[in-house]
Amino acid sequence: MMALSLIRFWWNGWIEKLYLEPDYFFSYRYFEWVKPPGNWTYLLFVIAFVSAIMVMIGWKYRIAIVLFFLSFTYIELMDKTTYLNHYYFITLLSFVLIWLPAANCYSADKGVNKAATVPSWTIDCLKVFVGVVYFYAGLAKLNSDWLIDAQPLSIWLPAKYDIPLLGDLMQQVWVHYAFSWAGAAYDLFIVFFLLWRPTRPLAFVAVIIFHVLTRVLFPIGMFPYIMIVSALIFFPAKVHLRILEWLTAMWPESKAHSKVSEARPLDAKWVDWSKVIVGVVLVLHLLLPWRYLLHPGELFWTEEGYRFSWRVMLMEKAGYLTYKVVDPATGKRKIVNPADYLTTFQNKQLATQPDFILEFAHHLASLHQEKDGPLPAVYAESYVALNGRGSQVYVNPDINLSAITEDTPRTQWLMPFEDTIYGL
Amino acid sequence: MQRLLLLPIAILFLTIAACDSNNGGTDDDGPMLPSFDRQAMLTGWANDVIVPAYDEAGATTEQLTTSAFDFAAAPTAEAFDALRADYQAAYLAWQSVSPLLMGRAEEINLRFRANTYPTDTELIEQNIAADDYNLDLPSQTVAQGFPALDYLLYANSGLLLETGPAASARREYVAALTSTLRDLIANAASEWTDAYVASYGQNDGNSATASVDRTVNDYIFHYEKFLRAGKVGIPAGVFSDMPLADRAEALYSGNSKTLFLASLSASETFFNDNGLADYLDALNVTRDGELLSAKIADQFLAIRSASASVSESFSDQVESDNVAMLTLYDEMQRLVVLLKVDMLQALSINVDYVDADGD
Repeated sequence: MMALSLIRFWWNGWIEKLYLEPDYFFSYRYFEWVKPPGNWTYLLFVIAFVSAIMVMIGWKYRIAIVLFFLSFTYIELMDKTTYLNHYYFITLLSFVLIWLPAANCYSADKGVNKAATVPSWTIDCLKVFVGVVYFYAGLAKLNSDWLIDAQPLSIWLPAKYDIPLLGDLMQQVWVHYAFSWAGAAYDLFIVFFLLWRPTRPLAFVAVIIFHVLTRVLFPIGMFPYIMIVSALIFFPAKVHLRILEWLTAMWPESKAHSKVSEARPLDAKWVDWSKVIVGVVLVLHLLLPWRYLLHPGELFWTEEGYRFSWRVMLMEKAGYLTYKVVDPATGKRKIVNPADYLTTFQNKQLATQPDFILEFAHHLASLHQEKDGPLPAVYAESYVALNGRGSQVYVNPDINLSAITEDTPRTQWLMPFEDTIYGL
Repeated sequence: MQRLLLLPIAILFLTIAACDSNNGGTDDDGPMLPSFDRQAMLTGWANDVIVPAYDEAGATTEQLTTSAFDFAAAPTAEAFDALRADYQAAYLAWQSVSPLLMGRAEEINLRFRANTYPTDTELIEQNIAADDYNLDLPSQTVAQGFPALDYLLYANSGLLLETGPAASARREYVAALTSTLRDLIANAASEWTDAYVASYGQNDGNSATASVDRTVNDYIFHYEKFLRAGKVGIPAGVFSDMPLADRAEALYSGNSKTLFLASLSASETFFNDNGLADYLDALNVTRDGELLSAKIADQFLAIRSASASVSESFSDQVESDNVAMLTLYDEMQRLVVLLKVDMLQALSINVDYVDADGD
């Protein structure tokens, strides 16, 4: 039996995130070729922000979390360019939280209710959620690039020469290996150390050190903070109670307003349904990362099944891409530089990711079709360098991309990857 | 429990401290990348590349301006020959300035005012006939600079030696073009004072606004847009349907290849001898078992040898045998990939990208 207060605290961390985030999102909001709802995008952010605060203080919890889930997911889906694993994590988590009674105590709905309890399965499933993220991230690191060549860290770390204190250290080859191995070990085992009571405080210190370090070294935004706060779920209820009491003490009015009420026993039917739904999401969460096994080809090269799989910090991919649009009737051709159409950030993502390359090829084809009639042939001239290998031709330059669909296996239109990466 | 928490933190700091002291003293912890002095590289770029290039371009355009005014005053055949020779020297010197135009040079649009081709011959004739023009206007970019001089000094050059008001207006226009060019270059060059060089060198961090990132971006941008596309790709018809002979540099004097080679040499020397190759080697960057710096140096040589089979006038070349031109372009394209993909990746330099999260 655990008080669910911890989740509330968890959300507490998120509010900070959401205070910071808007500023962040403003910079890459408007994109030319996806259609966010224009100025209404601001409204979306307001909804997400307000509902997150409602969730935090536990006011109209159920409505708030649904709103948060919908608005946040919508924001995330507006542009693939900005895909990040931790946005997906938040989406998943907020979906699960819809079905959990997270507002049973320490909330505006129910007041400070120390007697209220939540079933332990609700806590446990959240633990599994966070645990899987770490563990799968660890599994994904078990490949020859990461462990044997210390890639991509040996590209990224030396570039951090201007960080005080650590800058010189980052130049040393053994540090690249130490970071790679320690990172993999950390991801694989941290969950177990957090689960086991005697090692828990130490493990949490490790969580903080690890994530602060990654924050210093890499431009990964809010992710470290989210994970640090998420890891609190592993602590027993009394730790959370203490934190919450301390917080309430700092905010005396909230005590005056809070009303003590009896916790309503959870509606049994609701519980059954939510168990099923959360179970399904969990299964998806466990299986989705393995879907790459269904596709032929090297995962890092084709990226089929790379997203939504907790593969973080695994690849340094750089690319160069131009298109050639050929009119079938006249045989006229023109070279298209995608940078003329896209933001630099989109252009960077475009050059290395096959689904972007294909989507934009189709877009170019339809642009040409509107203007000049027949469906043109679109060819890509592209080069990609992966994890310190030399650049090689990426898309097969002889294949007309306007005849390729999303379902065509990527191995059919990408050049074969001229190397092998061993491991998961 | 609190004491328990302090322990690992203390250990971490001790470890960092220990490693740091290792760095200072003799180090035998295994292979270590020798620390590379970026500040020295930057100061070298300023003092050994940018400033001398401006000096040379400044001196040659000064000389060009002098001979243009001399010629306007006394239009003799000798003065005309001297003017042409000085024009050639100044255009050649320009090729070494062109790869690294930053700061004020960008603000005053130096590149476009000095070397936009094809030049607009109608507008030039119109200006001369009206004897009323303002070269600072953006619309006049296509009627000035080296390409305009190229037209005036080499196409129908007999007109310049005639007598009468039309011919003297023509000579005055030439003089005005040269002094405008000289002043623009002098203006851009004057930014590079000792203090500016010092602050340029001190900005040796790792961000989009730091000097290394900016300079390397400008360098690659020039290579890709102006050396590869402008001088070779566009006339060869890579971006169009057919060769565009009138888009060649130095269309009227016909010495496109000399200018091309000067520009190529400037880019090549900058890479090989002014720090980038050493920087890559210091990071021990290898690709397919070979030093990346060596691959890039080899590719420069491959471009040079491909250029052996094209003639001096690129305009003539694309009309007689465009295949040789396209072969040259293909070799140049390979270098874009090496520089822009492999080198930038190894140096963790972004291609002027906006900052964004990764994960």
